[in-house]
Amino acid sequence: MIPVEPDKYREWDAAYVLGSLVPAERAAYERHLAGCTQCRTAVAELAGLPGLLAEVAPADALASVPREGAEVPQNLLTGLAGKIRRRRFRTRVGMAALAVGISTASVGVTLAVTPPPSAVVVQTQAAAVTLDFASVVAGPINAVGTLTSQPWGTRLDWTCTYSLASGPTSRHYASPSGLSKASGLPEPSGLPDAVAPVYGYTLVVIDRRGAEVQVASWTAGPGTRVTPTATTSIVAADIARVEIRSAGGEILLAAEP
Amino acid sequence: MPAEPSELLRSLHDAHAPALWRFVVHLTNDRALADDVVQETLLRAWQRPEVMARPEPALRAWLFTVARHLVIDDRRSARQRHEFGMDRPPETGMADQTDKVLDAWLIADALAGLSKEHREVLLHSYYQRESTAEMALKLQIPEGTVKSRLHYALRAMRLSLQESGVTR
Ligand SMILES: [Zn+2]
Repeated sequence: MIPVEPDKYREWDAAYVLGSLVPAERAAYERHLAGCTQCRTAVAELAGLPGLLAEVAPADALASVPREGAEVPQNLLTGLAGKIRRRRFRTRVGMAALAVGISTASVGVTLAVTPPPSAVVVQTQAAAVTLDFASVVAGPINAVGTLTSQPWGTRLDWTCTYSLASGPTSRHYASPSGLSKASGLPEPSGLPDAVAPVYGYTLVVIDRRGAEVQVASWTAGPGTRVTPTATTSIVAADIARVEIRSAGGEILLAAEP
Repeated sequence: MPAEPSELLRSLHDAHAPALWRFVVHLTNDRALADDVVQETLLRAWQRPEVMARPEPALRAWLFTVARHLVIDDRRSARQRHEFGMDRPPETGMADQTDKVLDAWLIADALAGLSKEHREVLLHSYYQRESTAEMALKLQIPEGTVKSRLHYALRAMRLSLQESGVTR
């Protein structure tokens, strides 16, 4: 075995690219570089770093403190998993309610929406009135729905399609929920594995006297299609207008039965 | 299917949560809020296959931009209970300016992540423009040790910046 002479310049690469070698050493190192592939490779690997260090102002760099103690909490990932489970669960409940139909979905609503005492009991299921939503502002959302008179008021069913095409109508994409102080971060409902439904929408019913009631809220994102159902105690004949609004309150689509 | 969703989420967390979390703590000085913001940010990315499919630097930039917007929104809603205050969607708000600011933060963060000895020589060398001879004198260590520390310090920086996606 031929003893390999250790390269005394092996660790000079950084001092060289940082410009910290004294002139004599710099000249010596450059002469060495001419004949040493390993050192040339090492220098090439570090050559980009001074330019990156330059992006930090010297004052900021000097003021930076070692980050001891500022480590990401261990339970962050566990908390994340919990968040997903909660959303999944809620989604399943929501889907089940939709699948079973209005009988299940209205259980929660009935408590809040008592039938008007004066309501004449109409046994026949009135024919559905079409809601032909027209765009108020151009956007990727289309919707069509129906109003159906019920003994207790009106049921609204609609399908809302969110096209994949993105265009100049960024407003529809631009309203992810803000953070609410009370409950922490907003939790978009919907399937976590599906295309992200993070944009919030509401369905608002306006009666003939101009009073408005929000009857539903949901989230959707590009490429999704939702078919929510909502109920209201307002009788169908009193409904003047139905609007789909962004969660920020902007009227996106409107229909007049 | 590339991987189990939970696995994907874990690798997303492992790759980005630490730097994201420090970034939000840096912005807000609020660790509890940072937990929330980072979880929400990772979740939103994970819910979007098209974001997850992006190359690493673009994914990272998306994450930091979303986190920053969540912080801004939180400040706004704290002030005026405005629920939806995002001026620009993250998809289009990725100006070069933002990337620069983000890179600078990641580089400063990588500096802060070095060992005390490594950080020290790098600050003296690059930011104070001292020669190895000057540093040896100031720090009371042999010149060979100065060179060696610089060598390992800059290698550690390079590795850290590769991990955070600043360089390849
Ligand atoms: Zn060499």
